[in-house]
Amino acid sequence: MIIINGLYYASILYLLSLGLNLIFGVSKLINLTQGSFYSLGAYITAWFISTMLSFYILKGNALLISFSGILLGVIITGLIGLLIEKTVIKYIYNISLERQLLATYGLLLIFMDLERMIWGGNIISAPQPLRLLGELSIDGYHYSIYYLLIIITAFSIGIAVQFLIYKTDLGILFRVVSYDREIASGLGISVKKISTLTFFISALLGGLAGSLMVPITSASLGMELDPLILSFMVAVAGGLGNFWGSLIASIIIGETRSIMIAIFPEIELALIYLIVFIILATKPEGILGRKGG
Amino acid sequence: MILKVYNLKKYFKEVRAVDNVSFTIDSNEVVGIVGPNGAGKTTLINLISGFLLPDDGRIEYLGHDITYLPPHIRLKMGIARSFQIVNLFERISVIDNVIISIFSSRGMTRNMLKPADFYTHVKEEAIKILEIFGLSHKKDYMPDELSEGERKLLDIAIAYATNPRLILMDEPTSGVATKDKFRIMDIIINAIRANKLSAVIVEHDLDIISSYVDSVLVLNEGRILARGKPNEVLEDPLVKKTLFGISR
Amino acid sequence: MRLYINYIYELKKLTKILMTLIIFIFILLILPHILPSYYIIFISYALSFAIASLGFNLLLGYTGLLSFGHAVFFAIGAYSVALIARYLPNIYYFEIVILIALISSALFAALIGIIALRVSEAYFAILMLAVSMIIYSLILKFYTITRGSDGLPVPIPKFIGLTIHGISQDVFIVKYYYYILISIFIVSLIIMYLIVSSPFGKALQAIRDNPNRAYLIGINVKLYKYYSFVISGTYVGLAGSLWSIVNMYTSPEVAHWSFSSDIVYMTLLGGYTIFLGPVLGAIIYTLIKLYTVIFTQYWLLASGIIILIISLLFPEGLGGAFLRAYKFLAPLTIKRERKEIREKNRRLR
Repeated sequence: MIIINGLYYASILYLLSLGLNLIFGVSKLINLTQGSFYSLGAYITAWFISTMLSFYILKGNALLISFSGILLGVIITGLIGLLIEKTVIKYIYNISLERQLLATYGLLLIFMDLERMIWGGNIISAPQPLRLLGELSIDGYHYSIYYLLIIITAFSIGIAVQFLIYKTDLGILFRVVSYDREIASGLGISVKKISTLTFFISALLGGLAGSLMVPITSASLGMELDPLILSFMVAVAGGLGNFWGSLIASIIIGETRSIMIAIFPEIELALIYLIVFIILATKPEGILGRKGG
Repeated sequence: MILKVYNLKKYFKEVRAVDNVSFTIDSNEVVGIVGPNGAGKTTLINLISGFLLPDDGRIEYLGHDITYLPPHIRLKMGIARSFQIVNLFERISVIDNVIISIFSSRGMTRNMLKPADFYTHVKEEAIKILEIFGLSHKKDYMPDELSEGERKLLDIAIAYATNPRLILMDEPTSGVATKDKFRIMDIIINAIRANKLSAVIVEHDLDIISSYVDSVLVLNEGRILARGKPNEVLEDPLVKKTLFGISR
Repeated sequence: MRLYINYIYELKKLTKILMTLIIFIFILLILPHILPSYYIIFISYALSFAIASLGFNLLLGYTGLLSFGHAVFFAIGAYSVALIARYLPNIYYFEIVILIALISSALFAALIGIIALRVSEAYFAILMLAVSMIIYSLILKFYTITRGSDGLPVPIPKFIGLTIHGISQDVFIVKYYYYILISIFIVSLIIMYLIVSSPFGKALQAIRDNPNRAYLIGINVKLYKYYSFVISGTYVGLAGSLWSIVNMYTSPEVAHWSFSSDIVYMTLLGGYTIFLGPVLGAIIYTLIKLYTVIFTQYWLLASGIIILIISLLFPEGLGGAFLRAYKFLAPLTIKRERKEIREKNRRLR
């Protein structure tokens, strides 16, 4: 069970880091706002599910509502991402690293308070999807089906993105832009459109991660910080822009976290930071020994 | 004999960037390195300055084996380099670019409590160097206020300020308008001769090379094609055939 | 001859700066007689934050390293004072606790620096965040010692060579502590000025602008980043200890990432590219913090918007904006220098 726990969390991290990798690969942007997409997806999904299911009439369609909620969370987050890309992000592409970190950090803060404004300081729970799907019993071990669903979803999306980037014509466009923006525009590729599309996809991924996570952890203020830091680590450790690297890195970090929670439950609060610290302290180059960041 | 290179080899997978190169440089000698794109010129500079380590071979400088020494040690021994793509400190003034180079190469940066401006002799030296490079009238400008040619000169001035005995320059006139190339080379060669430095200059423009250097090294596909006085080497039919297309 | 003229020139410049400084100190000293005590307390807060942002900017503005966890040093400074007040009241003398706070922050910076500086820029920012959050959770966790989220009170310290009886903390701050703060602030300011204008300071700027080239002209980039880190950590630690006495209380929040972001924020606000920028930023930050509480509870929103705007449009912060608009405020600008050089040359001929 510990292993599955580690794996589902790894999946979430993987989705987030996929978004980070995409946007860094294509637009060379370090995007801290990815965390905001995570929390936005979570809040929207949580709010939708809990609100809808409070209507007695709809209680029968709980499963349908749950998945609609998740879908809704993803789509709306994507749209929000699209919105800020066209208004703010496009100015952030070409500035220095510290300014990028600062600007996207500013956005993170803004969204945090916006969430507080809209949904208040309360935690919004929506455990239904988790409960409804129940468990699978194999050899006397119980596996939560929802966890398995998360893992499968993340894995499929990972494959889908890989396919997109490496096997489609659109993917070629992405790769050219990530290689050299000037050459790309010289070839007639609309770098602007590709950047916008990439950001949109990133936002979708971030929103998905948050939405999927909601039945397990609920939506709360500041929830995005831990996953953001860890997924950042995953992306950079696996090598920015390297999908297989992030896959391995996310599994390692996810499992480490899971194991440590099982062994030392009382240090949960500092846990994530401790993991980050230990990893960076022992392997400054990142998990796979690649240069990143 | 200031620099001796023996059988230097650097391979990047199947690409033989530098393939069994051997040559020597005398004191006060200015050597030009020419060759088509990808001939290994920049790699050679990187190997001599310590940016890259060779796969085989030896580099001897003033009798010491420097083959595997890191760049900052080679700097202390007197090897400095400038860059093809200008490599400046963009947010400090022109004169500060040179001043910091003087401070650090003399080991003076440990001082934390005396304002740099009070080191008048350092400032004087910096101004002298800027004068040699024709930049003293713009000493308080920021690097981005200089023309491209001036920026290249500043790049070289920074290397020059470390008081080297051998200076390596990678395409010092690339990106500079043709009409300015000669003026810039005049300044550079002047600076080199003034301090009796040895120099290695990687260049594409053959007119430049023939006018300014003592001897020429022709590189092709990582190997030395020819070596000797400019007029001899550049008249060689094989050399002409190889370089055809890049000369004006 | 030329050397001599240069020297006089530099001396003149320094005198001008000194004059401005003296006027500034004079104004600060008069204020308690003009303004109500509430303002003096506000200025005291601002002065301690100013020391923090000054130190932080050595790392950010001059060395080019962004850390999202510098609050940890502030917390170490603040808790050094508070813990001694609580557990070692016999040595709770101002001079002693400040010294201990300085040493603790310096030591902590020295230890953490060894690990933190081995990683690349983006990692570094996150690593510092991790460090500060670990300390935050440690403070919360060891409730029996630190009283966790309840925080610790910070009473008026005793002074070696000076006895103060039976006055309220407010009066203490306005009548005595304010002046101590001013002196320490001025000293920190002068020391920081010397550091950034020294050859070492120039080396840091070279590292900021082009670490590769800096290495290639002989600068030990790793070591100097380390020095810069330790000095900046010590400054922030000092600020924390001074602040705790003004605040009369300290809590785990000072180690939280949100406070780190406040430090970044105030440095940015005033402009991280000019020397006095962070000081200005600290003053504005204190103002905003005190007043937005009246208007809105959405402090993060306000900071976020401001950080966003400044990082996009005004990398030089408000201080930089002022500098451009009011050239005579700065000791010297390039135009004036060029003009003076032209005049000097004219005189020489």
